[in-house]
Amino acid sequence: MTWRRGGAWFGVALGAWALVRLGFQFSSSSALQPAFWPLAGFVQALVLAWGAWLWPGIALGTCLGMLAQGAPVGLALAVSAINTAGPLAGSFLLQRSGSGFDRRLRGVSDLLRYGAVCVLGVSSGSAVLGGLAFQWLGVGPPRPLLDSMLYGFVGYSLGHLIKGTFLLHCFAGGEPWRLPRSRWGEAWALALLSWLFVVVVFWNEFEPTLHQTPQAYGVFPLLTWVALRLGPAWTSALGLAFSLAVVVASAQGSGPFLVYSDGARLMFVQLYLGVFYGHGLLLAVGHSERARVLAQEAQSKREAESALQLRNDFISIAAHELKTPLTPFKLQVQVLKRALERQGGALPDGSRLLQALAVSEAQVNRLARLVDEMLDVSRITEGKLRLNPEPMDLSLLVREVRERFQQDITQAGSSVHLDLDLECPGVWDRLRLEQVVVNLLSNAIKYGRGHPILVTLNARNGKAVLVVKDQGIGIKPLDQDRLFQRFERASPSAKFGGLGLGLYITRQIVEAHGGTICVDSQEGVGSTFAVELPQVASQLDAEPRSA
Amino acid sequence: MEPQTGVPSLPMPCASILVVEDEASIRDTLKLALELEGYTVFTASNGEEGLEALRRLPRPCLVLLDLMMPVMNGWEFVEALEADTVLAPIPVALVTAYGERGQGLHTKAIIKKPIDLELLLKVVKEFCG
Repeated sequence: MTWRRGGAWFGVALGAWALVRLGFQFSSSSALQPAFWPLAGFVQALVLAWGAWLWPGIALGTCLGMLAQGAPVGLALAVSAINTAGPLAGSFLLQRSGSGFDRRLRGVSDLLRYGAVCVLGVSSGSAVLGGLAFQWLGVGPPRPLLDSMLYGFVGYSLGHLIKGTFLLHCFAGGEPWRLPRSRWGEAWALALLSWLFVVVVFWNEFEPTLHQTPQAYGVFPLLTWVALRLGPAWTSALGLAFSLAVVVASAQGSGPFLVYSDGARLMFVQLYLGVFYGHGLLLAVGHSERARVLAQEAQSKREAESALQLRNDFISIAAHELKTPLTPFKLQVQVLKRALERQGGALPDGSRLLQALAVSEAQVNRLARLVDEMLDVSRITEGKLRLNPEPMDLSLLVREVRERFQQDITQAGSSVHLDLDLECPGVWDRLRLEQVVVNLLSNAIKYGRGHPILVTLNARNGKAVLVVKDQGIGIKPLDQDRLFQRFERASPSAKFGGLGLGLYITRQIVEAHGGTICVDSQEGVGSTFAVELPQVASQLDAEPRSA
Repeated sequence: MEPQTGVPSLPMPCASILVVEDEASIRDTLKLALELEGYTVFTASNGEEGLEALRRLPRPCLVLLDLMMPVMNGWEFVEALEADTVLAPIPVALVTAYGERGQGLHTKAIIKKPIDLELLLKVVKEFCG
């Protein structure tokens, strides 16, 4: 047994003892069955919030409280057993009452389940067992067994309803008490109005008559206001404070319920409080749940609109990117056709024809690459990207790609310096790694502003590290976080083309090989992309990574 | 950006056209297609180079302008052109994949990509003869 657990048991026992004594304070006679039983909700809330392991503290505190009231040992043990078993049974039944019971009572279904299991079920069971215990032990007030059970039921059920729900809002976590600053003034005004109501209706000196009883229900507009504006937690707090004030006033001989006889007064007060509190809490929880659902729907709608906008933007960009290679291709075909028409069907000279066909072939290849890029994204998303690893030399691959890009490098006014290991052997998917190198190098050329580009490749400790560093436009810190996501582009689309898929695919390929990719960049200074790959790919299939 | 003699198959007036396009393959193919029709073609790879060309070289009869370019895009080029009282009268025709995005600009024509050669030549003939 740890000190912490022992301390918790002691605290619970002390609380239970105090609440048992409090309940008897409002008893109108020396009877050992008080009408007001605050222990019921307290122990139920504790067990639901913190667990069944608290039962020794509950049992001990209840037993000692009853003994302190002069109850015989047998009755003290019986009441202790009933008030310990009841909450344990309530907690057990609630966990099994269906999926996802929220002990914070955030939803109407949670509140109704709590009501059915604890307010009605556990209270009924406790009242029946308690009545039988009183009967069997020959103690308690002189009333019929059924009356005794009903008496007990009202006390237990109100304890569960009022104190139990309030304490669950206190113990069960979340931030149910948080109020926006704009509502603090309103909360204070409502508290003051409630207090005034109690003073005027329940703490007056008027001779009570039956006609005055409906005045007690005048608090309902205030309660409705609190429920709709301040939420379930504050409704339960108001309800508890109001209930205590009303019970104290009635027990001390004041208020409209004085028309009832001594024995029945607290019963009718508790029935009134049950209607008052149940109405308020149900309204508050229902309203709060509806507001949450509406907020979630609004959020889902915003996310759907954002995704739709992203898709539309992508389609627009994709259309532009696809038209780019189609344009020279179509022009070349039209120019050739026009030349043939003018020359009566005779072919133009060989060099012109070769040049036209070379341009056309290059554009068709470019078109095919764009389509492949889009298909890759689709395959990655469906988890169908498969790697075909083979022994290869990454240094050789980087040199080949650099050679292939020589014309683009020259046209960009740039230069590419290689600092590579003589050989960098490994087992990788050659075509996919070529995609990675092509993507990183082409980005460096595109955004490099004509400045030199440095590509380094080293192998150490079983890992190959490829770094591509440019001195171009750089990337804003905010954009670096989303750079590797699908359809995201860090460059202004009005100045640079591109589908926004290259880095996403690059990252997927690298991670499929068990590697990592990261970027270090400063706007206006340049970017450095670093890829680290195990020299033997640890994963052969590409599962889609979170975008 | 030096003028090169084209290889016209029919005698045509030698008017000059400026092509402002960042995509090299499109730029070169447009240049070839227009030179074959007897026009003199200058080229620039972005809006800034295009403005420099307009200030230094003989005034062209038409500017064929792309929209999406680095350094200075098509929108910025048109804005700079309109702000220059000397260059403002030069007619500009957009050659773009984004036809609808060019509709706010004060240009003489919008030619959508992929380019229809007959339509292109019709627009060029209207301003260059």
